[in-house]
Amino acid sequence: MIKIEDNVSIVLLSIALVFNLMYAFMHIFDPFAVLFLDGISQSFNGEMTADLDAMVSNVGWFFMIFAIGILMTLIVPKEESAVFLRLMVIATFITSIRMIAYYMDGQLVDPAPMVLSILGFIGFSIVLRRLGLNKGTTL
Amino acid sequence: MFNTQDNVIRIGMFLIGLMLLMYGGMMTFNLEFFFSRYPTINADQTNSFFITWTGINTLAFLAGVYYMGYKGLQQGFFVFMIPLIIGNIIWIYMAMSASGGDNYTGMISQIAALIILLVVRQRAGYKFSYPKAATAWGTDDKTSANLLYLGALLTVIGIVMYFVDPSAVLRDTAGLEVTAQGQHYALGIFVLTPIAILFALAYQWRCGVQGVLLSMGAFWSAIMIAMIFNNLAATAPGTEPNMLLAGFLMVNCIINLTVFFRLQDKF
Repeated sequence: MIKIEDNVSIVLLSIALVFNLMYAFMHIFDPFAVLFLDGISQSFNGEMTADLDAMVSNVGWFFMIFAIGILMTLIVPKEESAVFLRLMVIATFITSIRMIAYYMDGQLVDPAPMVLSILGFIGFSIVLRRLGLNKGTTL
Repeated sequence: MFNTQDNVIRIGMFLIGLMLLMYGGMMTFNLEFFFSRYPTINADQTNSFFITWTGINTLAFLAGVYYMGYKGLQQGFFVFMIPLIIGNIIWIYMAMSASGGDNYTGMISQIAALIILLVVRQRAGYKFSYPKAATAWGTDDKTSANLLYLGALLTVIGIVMYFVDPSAVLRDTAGLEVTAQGQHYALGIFVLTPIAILFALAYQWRCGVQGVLLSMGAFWSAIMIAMIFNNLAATAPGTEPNMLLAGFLMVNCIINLTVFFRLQDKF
């Protein structure tokens, strides 16, 4: 079923899958989204407007799409996942930089999103490296 | 698709997948529409909790259809789904009798799904004989076999616990209330679905584990773990979360995922 042969990569991708699903549901479902925004933001007043709801849900669906991508990565030969994994390394890197900046600015009260995005970047980098898919490697 | 050239099977499974996708998507992600279609169902937090749970289950069944689309049909899927849908039909009939609801869409779609599954099963040539595997669960991996026994035991314990105190989950879970409709949803989640799971486990005990069923279990577990974390995090400060339910689900998830990862190279 799982085509990737490296157990460390399987564990890391499985953890990433669960966390992406968790963040997806956290943003998609209103009660979770309200609590999440309330926990991380200083400016959120507890009221979920329709516009904010739509935008937050969109973020959740992106997490869901990434979760589906990670699931697909697990069940196909590693060569077919090369571009996706490179994308995830870049995406988590950019997210990490943004989260660090937000946290340093004081806009982000809870450091959890920053820590998780950094861990995501490290995790995907390790997977990319362990599977031999990093740039310059001959497939 | 489905490792067959039989178009009846292909179309039948496509329709099953379509129904599961529609109901799974609606029950998980669009409760407002669901409540608008079924005005006799109270749009309260208790019902929302269980309808979302049912939607997640439905998406796991959909994962089974996708799995078989790539890998080919497996008898275990039908052993699980047919009792489940029969249970659903009984459950919907009971719900409509109690609430006086007149939307027959769910009932008709379940009956249609049952007919389609029976036709597909017949066309696939599955007999009512279940050849015994060389070993219990068809595997030499003792850890997986023991975990599957444990899973079956926990499933039975879950059913018994419902009958001992049907409102326990509603009473002990933060945000839920003991209502007649909530108890009926609990009946579906904690009795009818586990009975279908017992059918699937009994089949696998005799004939060997099936990739489609283990994959459905793994898919469901991944989603449930994410939902459990979110629900625990969302429990209001000072409120005691239902750790028995969360623990029960987590143990089931650990069993599902451990067995899946230990046996995944066989399918």
